[in-house]
Amino acid sequence: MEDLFDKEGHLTKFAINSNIEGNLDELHRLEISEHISFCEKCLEVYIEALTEDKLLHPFESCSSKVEREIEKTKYAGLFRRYATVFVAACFTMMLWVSGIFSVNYAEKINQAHVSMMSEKNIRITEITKNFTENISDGLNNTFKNISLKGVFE
Amino acid sequence: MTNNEFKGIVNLYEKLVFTICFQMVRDYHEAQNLTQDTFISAYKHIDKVKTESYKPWLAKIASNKAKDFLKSAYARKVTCTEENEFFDKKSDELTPDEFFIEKESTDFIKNTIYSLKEPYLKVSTLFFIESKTVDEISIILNRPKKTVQTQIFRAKDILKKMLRKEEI
Repeated sequence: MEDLFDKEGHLTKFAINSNIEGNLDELHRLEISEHISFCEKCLEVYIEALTEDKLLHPFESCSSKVEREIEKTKYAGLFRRYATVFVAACFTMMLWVSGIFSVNYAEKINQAHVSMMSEKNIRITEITKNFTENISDGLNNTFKNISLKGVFE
Repeated sequence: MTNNEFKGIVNLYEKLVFTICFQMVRDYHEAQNLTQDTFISAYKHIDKVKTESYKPWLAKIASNKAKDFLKSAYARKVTCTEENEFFDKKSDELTPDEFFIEKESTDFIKNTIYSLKEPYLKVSTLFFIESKTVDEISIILNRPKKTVQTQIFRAKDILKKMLRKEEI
């Protein structure tokens, strides 16, 4: 069999004519379709070789099927869009009812936060105070019993 | 683009698209399905394409659809090949006899690679002999990476059959 590709890796006339006439096996047809998918030059040559007399007529036009599929895709897209809007609206209503959008809500949150911090600060201060007092008492007790009398004589 | 306008394009190019699909897959019903898929894919992006480019653009989509179909059908038939364990041995582990045999075999394999036809010759030379990566080969040959990977896989299979034939 003649070569399907020339030295530069492009399709030969033999390849194109054989493909049109149906003389190639599956692997060779796959190789040709792969090459055409990225080689603009060979694609152009192939299309030019497909003159009107070589074009095949499908028994049934796919026009109406394509139209139906496109309509389906359109409706599916619309449904997705409206569903997203609906879910977003429900979520917003839930937040509205909970009062998150009210004017005083931010103030209430702030106040709660401040009081929580104040309580924490008071607790930390108490703990620190107790700790230092205990250390101080401990040190006082230690040095109370030590006498320096007669050390420097 | 309105539905009627697109319908006009389908009527105008249906024969071309069907012909390309049929010539690739050689199956009437599959060709019809692929024709349908081609126009459905085309509809999504047709507004970005100039009118004078419709013909080659649709032809390209059709050949891509046919290619994907053939690839999956071919992949189901082809099994993975295993590496020859003899060539995994390092040279310094081989005896002089084995080293000589390995060198002879390597030269023989190289010559077998050079005897491959396109589209496998350049890909095989760059991959097996020049140890280029798939990314490098894709850039050098200006082919898509997946195409290069597929061609390397097929080249290995062809080489294996050729080498086995020589052994017999």
